[in-house]
Amino acid sequence: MRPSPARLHVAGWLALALSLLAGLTIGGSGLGVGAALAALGGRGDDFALTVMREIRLPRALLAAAVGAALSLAGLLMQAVFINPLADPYIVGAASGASLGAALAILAGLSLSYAGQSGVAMCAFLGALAAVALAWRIAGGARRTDPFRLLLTGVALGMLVSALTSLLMLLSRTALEQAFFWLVGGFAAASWPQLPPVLITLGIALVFGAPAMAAMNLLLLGDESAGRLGIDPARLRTRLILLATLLTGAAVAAAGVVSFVGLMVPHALRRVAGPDHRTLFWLCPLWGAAALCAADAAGRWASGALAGGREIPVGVITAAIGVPLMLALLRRR
Amino acid sequence: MRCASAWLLAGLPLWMIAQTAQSSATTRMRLADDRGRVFAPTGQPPRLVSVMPALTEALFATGRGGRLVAASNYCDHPPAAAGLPKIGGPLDPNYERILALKPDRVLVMDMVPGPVQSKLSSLGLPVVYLREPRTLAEISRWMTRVDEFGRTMGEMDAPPPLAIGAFDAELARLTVPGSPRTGCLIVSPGQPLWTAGRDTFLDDLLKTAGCRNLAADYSGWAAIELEQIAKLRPDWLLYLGKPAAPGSPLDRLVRARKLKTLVLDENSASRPGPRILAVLRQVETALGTLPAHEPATGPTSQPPAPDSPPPAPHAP
Repeated sequence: MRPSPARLHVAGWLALALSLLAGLTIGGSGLGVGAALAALGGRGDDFALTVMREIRLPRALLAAAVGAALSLAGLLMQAVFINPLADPYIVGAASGASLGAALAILAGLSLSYAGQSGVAMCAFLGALAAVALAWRIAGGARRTDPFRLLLTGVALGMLVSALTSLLMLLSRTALEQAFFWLVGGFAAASWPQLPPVLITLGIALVFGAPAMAAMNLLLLGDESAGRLGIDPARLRTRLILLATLLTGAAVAAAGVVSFVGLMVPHALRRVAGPDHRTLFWLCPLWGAAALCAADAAGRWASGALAGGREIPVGVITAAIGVPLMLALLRRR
Repeated sequence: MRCASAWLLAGLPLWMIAQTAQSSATTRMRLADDRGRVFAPTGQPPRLVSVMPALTEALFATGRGGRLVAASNYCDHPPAAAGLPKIGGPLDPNYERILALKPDRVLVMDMVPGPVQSKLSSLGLPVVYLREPRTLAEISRWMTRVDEFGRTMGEMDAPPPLAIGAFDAELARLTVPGSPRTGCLIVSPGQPLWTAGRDTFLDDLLKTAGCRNLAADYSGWAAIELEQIAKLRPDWLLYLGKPAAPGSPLDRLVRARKLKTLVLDENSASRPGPRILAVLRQVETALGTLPAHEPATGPTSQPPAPDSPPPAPHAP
């Protein structure tokens, strides 16, 4: 017996509210829950207001936005490749972003535009360039075979990763900084990082929503989908473009955060069923809640277990997500 | 007319002296970091946060360590620094903790990434950026700068701490004159192998010790291949932190080429600060380049026999 989509929506909003609450009340400064909530309402001293407005609020919201973007991107990639193991990085977005970021770090690029750092902009462009190259080599819009793109993306991703490793060996300081960036996280989250992710998310929701039913038809195979009036190659191109924009924006804001883009769509498919008309809205909602909660859990663990040392959010998503995923797999 | 000229001639030097004195006083009342950000000295002893171990060591060396209210997780020297509240690492500081400490100065260096420095500044924290020194002489000037940011307004006219004068004097005594002869290579064992190229203070340390850095073609800290080490044929291989693991390819190369080795304390040799001179003395003692007037101290290592066990790690 599957829970109804309406129930999952209500539960998702509740989970998001709770994870945001956790994100806003957990931190290393000793600001208590009461003081944090008062600061959220605009009351408190300068210190409390700064912690809330400049550290916790942008951090929790960015984690939620990135979680939503990566989960939706994961869903779109899984629909494109008709494969539940596909994730947002499968056609080379992460390796492209990493190369862009490593180049910027190595070049000591310190310029920023409209609050976006040079490293973030290079990462975004790197992600787009890597996927565009894989798509072009795989035959572009003329080819309908998704596995060709998949293999091209994986192969190209390896080449780009090798280039990144080569670059990182040129400088020890750059290696350490690039490695830290690659691990991903929200410690340095700031307000200007939020709009690009939210705008991309909005674009993906607006232009992806009309394709929800068509994504279901892709599951029937290209021939059947074609007979039902769908152009599979065109649909895939559109979905890949949206997924790449989402992934590029997410990676530029937070580095390569692993697992959430794979786990959330996969887990929701097991709970809610394979209908993309439901999953399309549930994925960003639960993805936002999951990553925001993981980041809050990381901050709690940082204070309680790691002596104040920041635990990368990717470690937390894997630590919480893997047992959850295994439990779901055992249940069915 | 002649009277006016005489007044002018007499008054001009006085006016210039007054202007110079005023300008000097104004300069003393303002401190600029290496990004050009200007800070006014505080009336009370400033509350300092150090995000790098080298900065912490420099502050303690110049007698300003007591003004540190927190330091990074890696600040372990001197022992008093280990007891300070911790604020995370240079790459991942805990912003909330730093903010809660209400510091007057947050001291950072190149290792702290730009986005982290930007985030600290965006929180209204007074971030002081001091560029990493690239020569031993620059370390002295750099320590003077670190010391200045730990002073109060009333202390701005005080002479530099004795530690800096002692550093300069010892550096002068230890500087080996003449053109360098012995070929050396500094290697941090591991995967990959890292070597200190030009534009690092260790490159300058080798020159000061009377040796040639064979990795001077590399810029900064760079990965170096094993075959390249074999090709460069160093007389001495200076290990940073620990020697090559017994039986490892580097260890086999050292034995096959009968390279002389020396183990340098990683923290002392990788942080710009007063302890670098102990490393310099250790290198000179080992290489036999120590100026004649200096007492030879510090451990050395002889070239290993092909079948002998690897040299035990030494600390300066």
